[in-house]
Order: sequence, then C-alpha cells, then structure tokens
Amino acid sequence: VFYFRDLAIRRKLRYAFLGSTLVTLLPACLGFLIYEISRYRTGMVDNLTVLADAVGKNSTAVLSFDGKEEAGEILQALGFEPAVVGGSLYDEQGALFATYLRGGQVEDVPRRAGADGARFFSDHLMLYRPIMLDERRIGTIGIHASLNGLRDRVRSYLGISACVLVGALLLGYVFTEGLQRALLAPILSLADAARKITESKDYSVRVPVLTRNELGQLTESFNQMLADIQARDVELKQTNAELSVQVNARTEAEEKLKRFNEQLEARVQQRTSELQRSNQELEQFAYVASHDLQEPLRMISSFMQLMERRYKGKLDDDADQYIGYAVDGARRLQLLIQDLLAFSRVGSHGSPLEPTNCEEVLTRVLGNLHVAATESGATITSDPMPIVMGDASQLVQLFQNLLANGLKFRGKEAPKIHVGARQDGNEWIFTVSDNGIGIDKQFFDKIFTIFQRLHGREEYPGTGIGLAVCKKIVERHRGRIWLESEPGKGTQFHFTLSSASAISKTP
Amino acid sequence: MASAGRALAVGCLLLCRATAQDYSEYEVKAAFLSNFAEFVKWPSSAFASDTAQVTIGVLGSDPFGKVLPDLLRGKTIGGRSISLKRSRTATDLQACQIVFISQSESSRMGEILASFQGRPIITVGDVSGFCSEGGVINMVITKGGKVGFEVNVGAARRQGLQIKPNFLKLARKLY
Repeated sequence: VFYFRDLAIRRKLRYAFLGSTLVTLLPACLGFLIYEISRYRTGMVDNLTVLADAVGKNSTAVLSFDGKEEAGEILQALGFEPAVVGGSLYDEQGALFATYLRGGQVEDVPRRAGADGARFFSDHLMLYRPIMLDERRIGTIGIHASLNGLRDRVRSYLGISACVLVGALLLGYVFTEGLQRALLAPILSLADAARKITESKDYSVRVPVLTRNELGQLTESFNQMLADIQARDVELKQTNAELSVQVNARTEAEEKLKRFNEQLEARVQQRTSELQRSNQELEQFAYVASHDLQEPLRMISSFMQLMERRYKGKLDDDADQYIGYAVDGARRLQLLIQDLLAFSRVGSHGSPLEPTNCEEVLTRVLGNLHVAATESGATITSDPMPIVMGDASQLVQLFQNLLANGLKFRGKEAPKIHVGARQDGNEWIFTVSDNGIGIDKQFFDKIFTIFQRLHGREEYPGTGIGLAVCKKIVERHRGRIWLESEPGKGTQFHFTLSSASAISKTP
Repeated sequence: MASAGRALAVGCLLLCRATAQDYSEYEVKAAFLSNFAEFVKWPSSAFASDTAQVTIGVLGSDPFGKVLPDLLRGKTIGGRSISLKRSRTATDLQACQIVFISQSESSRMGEILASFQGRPIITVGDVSGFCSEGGVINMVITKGGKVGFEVNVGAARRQGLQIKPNFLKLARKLY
C-alpha cells in the first residue's frame, strides 16, 4: 500500500486500470465458469435422467417377464450418450438384474441399487432412477457417467478465460498508453512547470492549456496564480527599490542631521565657554571694580562726612543741602558697591557645599533682622528646618534677602511671614510667604534680573540686586526658584535645595 | 393396505424365485398372467365404464390354486382394480378382459377360441398349438427350463387389442 502511494501517477494510473480490469474480469470469468459447471452438470443430469427414464420404460417388459438377455440389449441404448460408461438394471428388491459396460472403461457396476437421484464423484456421476409400471415400482436403472466432458469443458473454458484476461490486459495496457497521453500530459506539464519554477524562481513561465476540463481549469488557475505571483514579485521588487532609496535618503538625512547636531553642539560648547569666560571676566571685573571703587568712595564718603560735621550750619542753607545730597549719594553708592560685590562673590568666592542645618541659618537671619522686624511689628513663624547641602553663609544671605523683602514690601497691616519646608524626593522645597503688597504676574521673571526695580526709590529703598543674588545662590546650589503672587494678597517665594542625605548617599 | 403389501411381497417372492428357478411352473405362470395386462391396450368398448374392473377369467380346472388370487389382491391396472372369475363354460366369461384357458379344455380349444372371436379379450393358454388355433398369448417352457411366451399378433389385432412392442420383443415366437 505505501509503495503504491508513492508511485508516479503514470504508473499508478496503469496499475489502477489494469487492476480494475482484473478485478472486474476475474470474478466474471469465475462466475461464468461456476455457472458453466453448474449448467453442464444440470444439463448432464437432465439428459441422463431422460435417457434413464426412456431406457427404464423400455425395460418394464424385461423386468416383468424375466428377460435378462433382452435387458442387456435394451441397456445398449445407453451407449448412445457418449458420457455413459456403464449402466445397470435392478429388480424390485434392488438386486442387480442386467449390466451394460462400455468397452473397458469401468470394471464393474454396483451389485445393489443406490438411492434415487444424481450423485457427483471426482470423475464420474452416478444416477439412479426408479422404473415404474402402472404407478408401481418394478425396478431401478443406474447410470455411471464419466465427467471427462465436464473436465474438457472446464479446461477449454479456463483457456478462453485466460485468453480473455490476457487480451483485456494487453488492450488495457494500450489503452492506458493513450489515456496517459490524454490525461497525464497536462498534469505532467504542470508538474514540470512547477518544478522549473521552484528551481529557477522564474514566474514568467506559463503552462499551455491542453484541455477544457478540470485539468484545463487547474492549469489556468496555476497560470493565474503565477501571474499574480509575478505581479506581486515585480511590485515587491519595486517597493524594495523605493524603500532602499528612501532608506538611503533617510540615512543621508540622518547623517546630515548628525553632522549638523555635532556642529551645533560644538558651537554651543564654544559659545558656552565663551559665555563662561566672559561671565567670569565680568564677575572678575565687577569684583575688582567694586573692590577698587570702594577705596576712593570711602575717601569721598569720609571727607564728605568730615565736611558735614565741621561745616554744617556755618555755610548757607544751600551748602548744607548739597553736602546732605553728596553724603546720601556716597552712602547709596557704597551700598550699591557692597551689593554688587556680594553678587559677584556668589559665583567666585563661595565655600564648598556641605551639610548645613537650616535651623541655625534661620536663627542667624532672625538675629540679623531683629531690629527691622521689631520696628515693623512683624510676626515671623517657621516649620522645623531640615539639614541640606549648602554654603551656610550664602544660605543666610538667601533667607535674609527673602525675609527682608517680606518686611520691606509690607501692606497696611503688620507683616506676617512664614518660612515653610517640605520634602519632595531628594530635595526640599522651601517657601517664604508674606501678606505684603504682592507682585503682578507679568513681572514674575523680571524681578530676578539684576538692577530691576518695580517701585520708585522713594517708595521702597533698595539697589535691585537682592533677588538676583537669591537666584544666583539657588542656581549655584543646583536648585530652582519661583514665586506665586497676586497684587494685594501677599507673595510666596519657593526654592529647592538638595537634602543632605541624598547628596551624602552619592558622594 | 396390508393385503396389498402381502400381495406385492408374494409377487416379488415369486419373481425372485422364478429367476432363481426355485418356483413352481404355475407360480411363475401366475405372475406372467398378472403382468400381461400391463402391456396390452384394450379398445374402450372392452369396459362398461371408466371405473369398471379388469376381470381375469379362468376357464376349466384352475391350475393356480391360491397363488393367483394372492397375486392379484390390491393390484390395479391403469387405475382399475382386478377381479377373478372361474367358470366351466366360455359363455360365462364373455365379459372378461383376460381369459386363461386351462389345459383341461384343450380338447375343445378351437370351439372355445371361436366363441371369444372378435371380442376385446386376451386369451391366454399354456398348451402347444394354442396360438396356431387363434389364441393370443401362449405360455411355454423354454429349452433352458424357463417360462416364456408366444404371441399371435394377428389374433390380437382381430380381437381389437394393441400389444406394446417391448413386450413383443420378449416373445419366443410370433404368429
């Protein structure tokens, strides 16, 4: 069975055809043979029965009148049937009465009559028929017939069957040749094409449509499939080409972008370093300038104060007023220079950042602001202060500037200032809130710029450097500073500082 | 049924013994006599009706004794039963189908046969010259000591009888 499954269709078809021919013909031949045998036997029995009855009827007289010699003659009539090789008559008691033997073919006949009817043996037939006279049984006739005729018949029948089978197989063989050409040619060409395509990947091959039946449809479908695949192949190749072009373009663009980025970065770096240098130079300049400016200013200031003490009231009123302006100007210049110096010191003269207890910082600030706070009748409260990474003196400056602002920009009521602190991840968020005059939203950015003043000098004194210093200090601590405010409702300044634990964890 | 069985048995016995030549002459002759009717065809005028009996007559002294009635008991011929009739005068037996003329009547045989002339009767005898005097069947003893018979075909035709050929073949002599 497995062998048959893998056979080529060509052979399979032939075997199937020849097999079915055999399967059809063999039982037919066998059936005919069996039918023939049975018909022959029936015919033989019928013939012999007629013969036996005829001879038996002729024997009634010899049986009735003891005519044994005549009985022998009568039995000779059996010899007309070629198959008969012996015959016998039996009397009423079944005892042998007369015998007929054809030339030496059988030795003898049974001494007693057998049961009525026909019995077949391997090579002969025994037939016994009753002999009736006037409805009375007066004896039996027996016939011994050879089956050679049947054997010959069977032999010739087998010969014919064999001829028919061989002939049918030969015819079938020739027929399958034709069938193969008609049926298999399309299949084989299809299989051949499929194999070629598999080997060469050439989808432009087409199989010729040879028939208009299912195979033709199959071939057409196959061709259609090939056409589809070919179209898809072309499309795919095109898409691939386009894609590779796109990819190339993109790669190029990316490279360009990268180069551009690199250039940009280089430029930014350059600019940054330039900026840093100029910043440093500027700071250096500001420091040197303010430091060096202090010396002549002190001279002016000391001599102006000396002049005021010595000549106040001895010159005219205008002179007193002028001297007063000059002293005031010198003092403000001194203040300005001090603030400027402080601002420039933030970047260049800071101490390294280390764990700093803000509680101590706040205590020092409150000590510094004690007079101003008492004068204004302010209430200053605070949350428990944490330990942060910072430069203690700068933090003092930071807190002091913010608190001083709170005191300075007060409303009509007595100032209420609260210093809050809450942790957010690795940093602390400090809040300094007051109930002062507040700031309009549009100035939120502006106020951190140096020398930026929102009010007249007469309204609120100051140099306009305080918040710029705050911003610079916070930024040096890598923190942020911002504010929330509404005019008339007070201001909250927020800033962040790294918590000490976070820094110490990553030294 | 029982009597029929016995008759059959006796018949067989007789025949078997006849073949073995153990039977008396008249036992065999009785069997022959009872069988003759099977091989002879009567014209329809021989019987009064379809169901009428076949009557076997014995003229003169009966040589068969008990043997013949025993043989005939229960036997039928062509569907007709058989009866036996004995008489001393031929006129009594005019209506019989078979008449056996005993040797006791051999002196007036010609006269008796003449009286049956033209009637559908099988006349049977067992004396020499019976057929030549116009009798139909004569039973004889062959040289081998067996019982045989002669047939006068012309007489049979004259009596209106048809005799079957296979029976005729067995006849020792035909007239």
